[in-house]
Amino acid sequence: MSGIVPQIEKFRPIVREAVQNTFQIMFGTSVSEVTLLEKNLPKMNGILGTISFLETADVSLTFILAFKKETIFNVLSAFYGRDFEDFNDSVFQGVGELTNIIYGHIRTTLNDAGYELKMSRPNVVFEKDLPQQQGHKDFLVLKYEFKGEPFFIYLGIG
Amino acid sequence: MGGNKSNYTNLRCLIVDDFEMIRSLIRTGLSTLGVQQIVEATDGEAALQILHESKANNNKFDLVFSDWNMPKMNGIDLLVACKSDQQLNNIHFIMVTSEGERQAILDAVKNGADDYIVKPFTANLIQGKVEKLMEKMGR
Repeated sequence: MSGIVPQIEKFRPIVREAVQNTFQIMFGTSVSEVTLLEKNLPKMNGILGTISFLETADVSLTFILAFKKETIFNVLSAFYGRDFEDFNDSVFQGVGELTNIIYGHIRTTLNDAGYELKMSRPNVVFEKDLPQQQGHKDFLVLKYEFKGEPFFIYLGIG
Repeated sequence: MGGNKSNYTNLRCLIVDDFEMIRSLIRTGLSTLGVQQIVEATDGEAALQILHESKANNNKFDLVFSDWNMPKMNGIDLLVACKSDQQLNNIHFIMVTSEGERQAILDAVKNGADDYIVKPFTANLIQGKVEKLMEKMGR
């Protein structure tokens, strides 16, 4: 797996395709990749779906789909046709399912290219409860927008 | 066949998925077709109990949409349990999976699933799958 670490930028088009495909099909809405951030996830008082998809003694890889509160409420309102004002079970499940679908797309693309990434169920947590991520020596943070509201994809390798 | 809602009125469907979003999407597709008898379960274990109860009540289901990756009992175990039960083995199965589980779902088809759907999908895709299956069933 050592080939992944120095080449994290090559994940970018794969992630973009997975995110845009998922939002177009499920919500009929285009989302745009706005920027590639040069630091860790911004603080946003949000909710996150995380998957640790490879863990060995030498390396761990983490996929995080992170939403500001307002963004995920807007996403789910567009889907269910009702307003969301609290972090209820529907919100947690929605974040988990979106994480699952987007990561599944990425995993298939990478495994078709010769990697052997595992599939696991997403863990959905509040931002404040996110397990320590700062130890990753390589990371890719992509900012997207859904109807003007930001959300983020974080790929960490460490 | 596919455009007549009355064909689907008596179709009994069970949706098995731990995520409300996916259950809602499948329900929308079925409702648009005119399916009125829709029951939901959040895992394979609960689904199997519902299927056994329906068997006891002589009110069996025609079609199951089942997720692959669920807590307690996954989709393939639910499929195998039904196919090994003489009173449940004629229920049609459409497996639902994420892109990353594509190979596994092909195994499910080998084990008797009628079809499969890869997430993300639209309600229109659900309609198309059911129409295709109904034609195959001659209903």
